[in-house]
Amino acid sequence: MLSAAAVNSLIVELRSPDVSASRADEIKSEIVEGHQGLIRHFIRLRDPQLYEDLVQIGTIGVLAAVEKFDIGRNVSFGTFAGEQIKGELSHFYRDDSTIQISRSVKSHLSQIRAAQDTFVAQNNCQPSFTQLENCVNLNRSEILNALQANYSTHFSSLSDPDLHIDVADSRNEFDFIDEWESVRPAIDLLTPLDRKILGMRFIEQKKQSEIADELNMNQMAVSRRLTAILEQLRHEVNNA
Amino acid sequence: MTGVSLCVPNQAEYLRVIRQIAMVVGAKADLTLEALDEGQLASDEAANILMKFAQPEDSLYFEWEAQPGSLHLRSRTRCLLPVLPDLPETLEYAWVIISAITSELDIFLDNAEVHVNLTVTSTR
Repeated sequence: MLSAAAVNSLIVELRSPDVSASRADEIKSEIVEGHQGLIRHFIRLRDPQLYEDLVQIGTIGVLAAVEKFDIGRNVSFGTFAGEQIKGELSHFYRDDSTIQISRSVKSHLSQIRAAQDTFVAQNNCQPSFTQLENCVNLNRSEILNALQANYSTHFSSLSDPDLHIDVADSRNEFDFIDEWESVRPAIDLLTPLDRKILGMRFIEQKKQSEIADELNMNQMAVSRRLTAILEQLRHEVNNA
Repeated sequence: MTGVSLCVPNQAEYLRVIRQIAMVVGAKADLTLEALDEGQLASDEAANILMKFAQPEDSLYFEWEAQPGSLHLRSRTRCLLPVLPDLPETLEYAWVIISAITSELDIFLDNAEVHVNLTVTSTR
């Protein structure tokens, strides 16, 4: 990542009336290249299948920041660019109809989640599919559609409360296990919470419901996170 | 008992279909939501294992069977190798994952085909 002073200097040069078009392009490319890590930071929790698209959207955010950044303000370019990237990503997710969940499916998901939580509280075990079906006013197809949406639209909003659960970092858990060698760089990119969930499930061999209990999450939220984590790892392996 | 068979080209875009069928058959097996999820994941990993051994022009074959509380998958594809390599070493983290989520797992070579058979069971 470029230092704040280096970025400021490049932006001053870019805004100079004497700068040529080719030099302006070079400067923008240099700033974008210098903020790839920042872009990756903001897209790391989102849908790995859209990785290339999201990098492009993050790039648009950095370029918007180059245009709008006020050097005189007491804020670093990185902080400002981060806000622009988040804004562009939010805009993309609002507008992209292929990954929106309809209001009715969201409502079905919340009914299913509530019914599951109630069943577990009353019976101290997870409901089977039929038991769940009996607890919600939805037919089998509606439940399956909602669950499919839960698993396939597993990107996370930056306002997702689950992402802000504070856990001790479990990065070192993966260091001495050969099978994780190829995905260790990808594991390093995960959030502490995601690393914790991955370690609890596949090193400590805990069930999703046990992880959910321990982290004060719902089983479906753990499932959604695990799906996203494993897709991210596979994406990293396939693109290594 | 409910069963579904599927034959797809050796292409990653069919993984979504595989996951969806695993979920529907898993619901017929009356799995818990957690086991439904793991049935999808296991089917996905089985497909990925087959894809490692198959040639681009090959097809992947799947048969799911629902039994009360468990989902069984038999899957196979053509394999040109005379012997399977050491699986934990070859599959790396995918081996850890598929081993953790299945109650039975059998990967073997037979008649020039690699087979991945597995069972996911509801534990409540």
